[in-house]
Amino acid sequence: MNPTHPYIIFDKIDDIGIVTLHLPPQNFIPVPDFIDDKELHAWITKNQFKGIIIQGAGRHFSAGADLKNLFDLARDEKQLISRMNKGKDLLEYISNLKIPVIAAIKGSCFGGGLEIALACHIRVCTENALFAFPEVNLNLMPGLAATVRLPQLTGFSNATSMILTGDITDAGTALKIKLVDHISGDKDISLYALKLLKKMTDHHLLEVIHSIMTSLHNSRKLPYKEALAEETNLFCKLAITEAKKNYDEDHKIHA
Amino acid sequence: MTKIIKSMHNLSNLAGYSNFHLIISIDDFRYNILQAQSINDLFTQAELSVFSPEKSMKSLAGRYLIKKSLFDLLSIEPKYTGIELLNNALGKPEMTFSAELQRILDQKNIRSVSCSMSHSRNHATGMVAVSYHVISPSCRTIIWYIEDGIGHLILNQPPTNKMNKVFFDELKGLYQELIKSTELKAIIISGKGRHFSSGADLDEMLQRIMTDYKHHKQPGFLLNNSAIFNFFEDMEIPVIAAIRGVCIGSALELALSCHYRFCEEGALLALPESTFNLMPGCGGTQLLTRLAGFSKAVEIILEGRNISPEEALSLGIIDKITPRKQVVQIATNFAKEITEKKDRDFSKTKLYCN
Repeated sequence: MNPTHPYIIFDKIDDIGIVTLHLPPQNFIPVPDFIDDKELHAWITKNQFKGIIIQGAGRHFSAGADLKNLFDLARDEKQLISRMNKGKDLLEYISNLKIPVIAAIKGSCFGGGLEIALACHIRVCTENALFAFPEVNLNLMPGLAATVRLPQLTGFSNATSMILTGDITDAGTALKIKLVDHISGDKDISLYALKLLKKMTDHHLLEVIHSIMTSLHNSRKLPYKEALAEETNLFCKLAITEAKKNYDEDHKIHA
Repeated sequence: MTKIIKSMHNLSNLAGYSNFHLIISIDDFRYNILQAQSINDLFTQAELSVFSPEKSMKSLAGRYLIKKSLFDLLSIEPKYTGIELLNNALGKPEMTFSAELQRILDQKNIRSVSCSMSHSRNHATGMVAVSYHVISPSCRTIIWYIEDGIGHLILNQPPTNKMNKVFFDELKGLYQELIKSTELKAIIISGKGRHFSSGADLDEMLQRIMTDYKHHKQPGFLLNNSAIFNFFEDMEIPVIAAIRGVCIGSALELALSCHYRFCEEGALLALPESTFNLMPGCGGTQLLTRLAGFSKAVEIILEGRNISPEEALSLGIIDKITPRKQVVQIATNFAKEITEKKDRDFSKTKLYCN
């Protein structure tokens, strides 16, 4: 399914696309740019997906970056920088998608794995899920924007202690500090994520989902008043379509 | 500098003041301003005065209009009370008038409906001026009154308190002509009856959009509606939404535009726009993101599901859950508590928060 990155499986259930990182048991991420963003884009557009789930194969989400590969890359500074930036661009692309993206997390979700999860819009996990940024133990730091995204979610103090200590956070604590949004008692976290996405998208036109997501993204990007004006513009476009539809229906009845 | 001191309820306290102003609205917020040395003189003058902006109506018309204003002011059946009030008010000493008004208010169990009053102290001459604001009789969908310096804005189209064109027009007028220029300590927004509001009148709105569209116009009124809610957010005094019952769609967006949200047990919040192929259009996507975070906003707005007060509290969308039928009282007490200190400058607090 995915020619250039054989460890990534693209799958779909109805209108939902499922991306699986398939390198069990640990699902170490081989390279920072672990998916080709052009391929991802083509796949999403072709299938007209209304939502995406990102998950790990087997018992874990991902235990982080494949360090051997990383250190190989690090021999050439320019190459490392360019690949890390590509990885960041990929996560930024995912984060900016105009359809909801859910990370379905079970088992370990460490380092680079957690950074992928942070780029998603919603995070759901099993009761036994574990979260950490162990980079500091190796005299490194998170390299795919976790230092930027984590404080936005959990507040500065929680993010600081998590990244500086490298300690493991359990699911309960993760929920409390808003690192995850839902914990499921059910072991099948992908099914839970699928149900949640279905609830959010099933009866909506793709255009409605796109408009809402665009406006929500604006809240993080545009100055407040601009975002407000843009929200009304997006609303008007939807409302005009809807008003036309009602008008046409009325005319059909009367004709 | 104008400062609100008393409600209509305490009119008798004004007996000692001199130099009165009466502002009577005729329609659509056109005012006539009258001045007099005593409250009695003022009303005599009012009756004899010319009330129309065209200055063509003589005393009969004037008498009719002041009666009409007072009827609206009291918001009760006009036949009995208004005439009695006027007959007793005019031609009697000011204390009698005050007492009579007080008696009628008490009798009808009315606490200063649709009326605000302010005084300003002219330090140069030591004169005290009292002015009345009588809200436009055409303001049908909103009740506005001031008590102890706290403005109460009540959505008045029970049972649903739906937000239609008339409501938005009147809210805008009320804000621009009255609320903006009145010095208040706080504002409390609530709904009359069992619900806060069921939100925008969707059919009416789609019809207006279609009409605009057919005339090749952008539906500008929506930007307008959004801006009206924004007025409250930008106010430099605390604005509190006191929510009971249903508060969905645009109604929740109005509540989110306030600085505090207090909710009765059993209230129901939602932004259900996506379930009818629309989206929140008056700030919902921006305000919910701020309060509940991006992830929860995505979920709540796309699902369009109902949120209980308990969930809303845990997500930071509301600030307090109150027992049934007490939300307005608790919000009022809270407003008094936080504005207790005189000279507290909220504009600065707001500035720092932003």
